Amino acid sequence: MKNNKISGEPVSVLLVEDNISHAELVILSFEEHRIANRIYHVSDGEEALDYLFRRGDYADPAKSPKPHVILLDLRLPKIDGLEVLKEIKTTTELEKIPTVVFTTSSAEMDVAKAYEYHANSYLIKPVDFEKFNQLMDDIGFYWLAWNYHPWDD
Amino acid sequence: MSDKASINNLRGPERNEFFLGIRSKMLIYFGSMYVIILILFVLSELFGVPFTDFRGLYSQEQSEVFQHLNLVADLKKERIQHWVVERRDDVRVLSESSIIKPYVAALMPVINKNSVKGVSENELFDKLRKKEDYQILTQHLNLVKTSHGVYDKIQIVNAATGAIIASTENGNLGKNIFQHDSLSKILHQGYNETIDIGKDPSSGILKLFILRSIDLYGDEKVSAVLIMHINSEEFIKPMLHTGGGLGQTGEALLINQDVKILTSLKHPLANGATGIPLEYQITAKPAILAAQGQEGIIATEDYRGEAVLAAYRHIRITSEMGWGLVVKRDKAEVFAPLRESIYYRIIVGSFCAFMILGLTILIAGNLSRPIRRLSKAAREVEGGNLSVRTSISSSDEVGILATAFNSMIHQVQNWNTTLNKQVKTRTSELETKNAELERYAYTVSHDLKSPLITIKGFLGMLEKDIIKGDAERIKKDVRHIHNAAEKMNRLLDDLLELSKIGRVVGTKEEVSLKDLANEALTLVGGQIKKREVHVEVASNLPLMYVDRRRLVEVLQNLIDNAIKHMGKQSEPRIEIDARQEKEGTVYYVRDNGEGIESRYHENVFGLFNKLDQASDGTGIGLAIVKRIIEVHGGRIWIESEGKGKGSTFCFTIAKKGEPDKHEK
Repeated sequence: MKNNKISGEPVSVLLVEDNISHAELVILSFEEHRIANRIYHVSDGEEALDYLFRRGDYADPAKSPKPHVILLDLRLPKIDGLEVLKEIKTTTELEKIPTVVFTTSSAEMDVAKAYEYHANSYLIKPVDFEKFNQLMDDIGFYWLAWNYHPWDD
Repeated sequence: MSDKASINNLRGPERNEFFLGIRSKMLIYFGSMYVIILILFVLSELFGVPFTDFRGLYSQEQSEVFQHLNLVADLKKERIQHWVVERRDDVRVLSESSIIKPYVAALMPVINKNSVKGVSENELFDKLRKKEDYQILTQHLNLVKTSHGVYDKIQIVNAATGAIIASTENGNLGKNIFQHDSLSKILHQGYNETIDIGKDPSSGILKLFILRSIDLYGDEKVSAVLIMHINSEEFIKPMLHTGGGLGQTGEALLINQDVKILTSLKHPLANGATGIPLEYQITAKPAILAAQGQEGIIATEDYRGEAVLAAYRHIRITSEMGWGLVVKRDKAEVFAPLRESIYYRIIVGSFCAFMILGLTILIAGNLSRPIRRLSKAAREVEGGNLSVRTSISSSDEVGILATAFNSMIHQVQNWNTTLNKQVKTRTSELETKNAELERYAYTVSHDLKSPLITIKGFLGMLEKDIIKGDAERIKKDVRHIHNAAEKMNRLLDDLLELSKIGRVVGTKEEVSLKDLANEALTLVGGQIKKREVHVEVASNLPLMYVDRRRLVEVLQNLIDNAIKHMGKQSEPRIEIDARQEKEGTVYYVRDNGEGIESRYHENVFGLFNKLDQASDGTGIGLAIVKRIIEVHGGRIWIESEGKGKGSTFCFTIAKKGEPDKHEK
């Protein structure tokens, strides 16, 4: 077990987000707080699975490393976020990756489904910028600094 | 709970009560009907039918018996009368004949002389017996008695003294019978003949006496009287009772003018005593009537108080004197055969009654069985079992009722099934609608929140970037904000558009798909040119009954969608055509673009769903298409063999007259 922050190892985040503006907001926030070393952004469910299974453009493990945390939006083109989550949590090599659902949806159905598919956390995007900023900061510290990863890099 | 109670109240009487009712009612109806018929039948047979000639067995029998009694009474009357005349002739002939007259005449002076002298009777008769005349006279008297055989005793009485001067019996000689009632009539009242029934003073035997004066000298004076005795019990009674035909209880009786019986009676009196002739006076009506000289028939009571049918006659014996004759039979005996036949009739009738009751039970059971079955079936239906049918196949009213019942239940079952199906369909439709609505609301909130987050986020960024004075970033932030606001605007427009469709489907008209396609192609002409798409519209396309403007929108969207997803196709083609299928005409827009994987086939019609994030638009186009098709009573689906194989958007439209889902 390693604390990445302390050991200074590079930490990678897979951001699955179809809304380019949102993606940029997340990336900017992370950059500002200097939390993540690398953020990999994909904009639909299919691409996310391609990345995780290292298919097509993402075949090179150096260019697309296994993320330490996945930030997953639910409403995604092509393959829905919940489908992606289900796929991750039913695949042995991927199931241990902390997957944080990060969405605008506060629908009970979505929350229930997400946890049913073993999401590690369910976060709702705050409309208020201050809160958004704070949440990004917290996510960074919690999942990337404080949280211990169950695998060796 | 209260519903169930009120249903139970409507149920009426319980099953058992009802069926006992129908059967026992029939039993009572038929039973009483039969009993009444039986009683009427027997009564009319016995006592006749009113207003008809049939007078009934009772009066028939009675009149027959009266007829018979009349006959017997007439015969007996005639016989007695005839017999009496014969006897009177005997006496008259004897009294005037020479076989006694000369001898009595010869003896009279001797007797008169001796009686004047005061000679005793014994001496006198001793003297007389020695006389030849007397001997001859006595011989003649005995001869007459024995030759006739009827007479018990023949006497000759001296009119002057009342003493018996000659007799067929020795012991009576000299005896004075002057006090004799009948004799005195001759001696003192001028009768020359009397007939009477009375007791013989010497023997006490009941006798018919016939007395006649003997005119010895032709001087019209009574010098002697001839008395002839007939034992009435021996000769009259048999006359009454021979001839028969009167049965066991039949009796003929003779009474004198004082209604006293002249012969002994067949039956004892009511008190058990025996009626003594000449002493017992009958008080019964026929006897009185007969004694009074009347004749006729009567149904009354006799001397015993017994109910009888009687015929009564008056028998004239002499000019002043007559007897009554009553011939009677007990009613009990007369009507015994009738009673017996009625008795048997009642036995047979009762037997028939039992048979009829048995039959009634059978018939009632038979008749009520289908009703019972129907009723049972109705109860079951009431209990909710609609699959019940009755198996009654008779052609009578009950059969018709059962058939009607069956078809009614069949109808109800059909309605029920139809209703159930409809409810199911509607429910699932509602569920779908509900889910759709939920998704819609959720989608809307999500998709509207997204740009808001962007706007607020980049406003925050903008503030910071302004402080930092980073011009490049400021520009970027503003663009993000602008784009998000723009997107929000578009989303709101689209939502408004979508919500309008249901309400804004206008008047429908018959248009050809070709016209619609051409119209749509004009609208997307720019894009077609730009992408160099070859569009082919089939010439022989059927007419459709639609809102022209909306269908153009559908085609426009589908063509637009096809162009957007042409991918890297070097020879893009779009084909608009229709084909006939079981469910009707299927219209389609086919392209040879990038195609859609089957798992996305449903997804593409969802609100704001876009498969390709890079493509333009909010992702509402196909949602609008689906909505318009649905409002036209049709459905839309995708046929595509997968990525790179092109896709076909198929849809149907309800025919003219078919219900569509146009919601108001």
